[in-house]
Amino acid sequence: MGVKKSLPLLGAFASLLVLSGCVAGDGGDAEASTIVTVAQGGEGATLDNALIAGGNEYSIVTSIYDLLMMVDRDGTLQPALATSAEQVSDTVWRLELREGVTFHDGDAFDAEDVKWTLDRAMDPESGSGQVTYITSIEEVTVVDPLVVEITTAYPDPTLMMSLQMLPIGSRDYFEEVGAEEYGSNPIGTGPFAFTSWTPGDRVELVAYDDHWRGRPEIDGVVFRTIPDAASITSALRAGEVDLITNVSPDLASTLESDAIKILTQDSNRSIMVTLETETAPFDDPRVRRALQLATDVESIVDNVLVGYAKLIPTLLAPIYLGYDDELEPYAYEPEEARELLAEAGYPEGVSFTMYAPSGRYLKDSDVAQALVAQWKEAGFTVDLQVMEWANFVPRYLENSLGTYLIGYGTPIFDSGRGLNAYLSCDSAGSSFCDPAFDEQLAEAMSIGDDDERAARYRELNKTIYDLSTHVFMYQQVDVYGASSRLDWSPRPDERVWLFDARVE
Amino acid sequence: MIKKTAFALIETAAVLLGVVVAVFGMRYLAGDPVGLYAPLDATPEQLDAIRSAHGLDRPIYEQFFDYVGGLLRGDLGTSLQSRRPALDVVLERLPATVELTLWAFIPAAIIGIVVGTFAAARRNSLIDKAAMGFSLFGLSVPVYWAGAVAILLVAVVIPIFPTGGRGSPLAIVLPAVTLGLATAARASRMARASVVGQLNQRYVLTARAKGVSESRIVVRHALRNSLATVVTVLALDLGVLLGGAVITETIFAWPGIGRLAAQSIAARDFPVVQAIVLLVAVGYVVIFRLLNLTYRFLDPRTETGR
Repeated sequence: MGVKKSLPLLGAFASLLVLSGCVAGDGGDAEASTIVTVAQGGEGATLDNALIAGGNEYSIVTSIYDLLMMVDRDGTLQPALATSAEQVSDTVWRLELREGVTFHDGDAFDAEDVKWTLDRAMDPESGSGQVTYITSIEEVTVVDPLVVEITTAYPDPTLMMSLQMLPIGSRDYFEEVGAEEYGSNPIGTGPFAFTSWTPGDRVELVAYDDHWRGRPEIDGVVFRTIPDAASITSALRAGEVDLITNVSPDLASTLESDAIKILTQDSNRSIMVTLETETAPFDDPRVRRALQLATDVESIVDNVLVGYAKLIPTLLAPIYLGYDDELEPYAYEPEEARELLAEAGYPEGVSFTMYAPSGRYLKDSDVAQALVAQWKEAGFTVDLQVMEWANFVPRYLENSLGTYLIGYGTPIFDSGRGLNAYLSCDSAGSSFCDPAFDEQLAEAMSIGDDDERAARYRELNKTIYDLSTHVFMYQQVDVYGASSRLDWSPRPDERVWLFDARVE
Repeated sequence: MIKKTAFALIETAAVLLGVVVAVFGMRYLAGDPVGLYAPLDATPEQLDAIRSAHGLDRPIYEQFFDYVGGLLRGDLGTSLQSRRPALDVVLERLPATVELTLWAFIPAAIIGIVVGTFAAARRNSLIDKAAMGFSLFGLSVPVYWAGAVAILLVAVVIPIFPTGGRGSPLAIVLPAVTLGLATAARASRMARASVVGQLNQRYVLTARAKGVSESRIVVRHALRNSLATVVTVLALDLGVLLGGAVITETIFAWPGIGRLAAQSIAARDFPVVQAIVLLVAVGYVVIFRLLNLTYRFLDPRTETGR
């Protein structure tokens, strides 16, 4: 007990010795080492691969653990621990696993680890939220040490995409050390091995020499937590850190210098306004369209988000399979909006309540306020209710918000999941219901052929575009600040994965 | 003595019970946290399963009695986020807060008392005016401004100290100075006011008449008689600081319990929030017990009358 309790202190002491050179100095030492320090705003509560939920935690954990398959920078799924995944029937996936992979403690990785990881996520007792990504799975079977078969309750062609949310852990290690140690002293097969964790401060990782991809170019990674937006940019300016995530758009231009570069990546996250389509006034498609036409998305992108966003025609960003690039985002037509509103029987305008989270998405409450101001011009009077995310979520899940600003983003780059979440009759996040639409969507989501599935999604996208089910707005652009010595480019899955990073 | 100790224990238990009830009330009002631990498109069945794994599906009074039962066995529940014992999660962050508190508090208290006493002895001198001007500044400057300016000046423009974190020996300096500023200012004003008050007393006149040196009068008589007041104010400060300085810890990325509390509240990780509140409450009780002991030492008159 005593030894265990003193571990964080020991870790802090060790990190103090290791880092005092490069942190306190003028950066001279930092130049020589190829340890990359990443600062993120959010704080991880655990390093247990089944319990992580936030993006910050995923960046750290996917450095320590590997995935079965992982998207590349184009968003295309590439083999990782699984060398191939084949659908042997509509409902059975057969995964061939990579040979010769070892965990950081030297244990060999095999099919039992995959089965155990998936089973654990599906076990309600584990408390893992990851079960929601693999709802379709019925059973995981070990065929031989390097072959796993996954049986699903219904055809799930995007299962391999979804499994990106489940980093693979070591069954033997878990059984040996127990859940608590497993989550605070993690062992994986990933490109970086865990060395220490000072909760709330930093996680230190070192390059894993025997990684199956080869040894990473850099010697190690330090993930620091710096919650304050001004302090995180100061740390980058002072040369203490090499990479910072989620740079606020207004700070980006002031940050750029000879020593600091700004990196951008079209985010997988899009922002929209969900409309309560089942009651007046938004049960009338003309009123919904009028609201869309009264929305000057371009002005919001330019003025509120300082250009760090891109207009999209419907709900999801272009990286999702099924995006329709033939659809044009609706233009800003306030006159036409007024006319439509009058035609729908509301010449005096309408009033409604809109909810918006605060601090969840880039400038979310500012965007909501800008919308309210724009809409007022066209005759929409809005009672805006801004809420902290933790208060927003329970109401969202009760489906009691009606009309609200919301975002969607996940590394599962298939339109089906997003369309289902925001449009199907029984989804908590949907204020729209059309059984025929649900049927078409369910059918589309079961099609194994990517091109064919994409074609069906495009049809559905056209439907919601024509119906103006939501106010369609924009996709965010992820902004990173990096020291000029770091050679790395951001990924569409928002994960800071530094296997291929270099330091000059 | 036994009676006194028993009374103190009962009093402490009553305070802690009050804290537990209050925090549980907050938990009830704050609503269901389960949505924060799963993706937004989780099905109601999946959410139910997670809820029941955390024991959140049971009636609130059952959860309450369970919690109190656990408390008596030294079990403060399990963190909803990490599924580790809540007490462990808090205890591993406590050293950072204690370290920051001591580095901020002890120098600030000493400097404050010394400066205040000196200012009182040289009332209306330039030194007095400068010291009181500075203390007014220390009290009025918000921590987030002082911290940001300190980072900009001596971490970015002139890189002497790290901007934050707890990774190097120098890292404590900026957060400790920023946090200690108000304490030093308060201590100096309190010390000055009380010492000035004492110096106006008749016993001081007597001492002067007897030819006692001025420095002895200030230190041995006036300051000694002022300490009880100053220490009371400082003890309040110490209690607040030990509760975690959320803003200072956030600006300087210092991994203390203040930030843990803020983050756990945002994540509705109730067991961790409860553990922090309880620990801080215990800390307060301990500080005030110690304070009562120091009174007897600082001012023996408090012992009489019993």
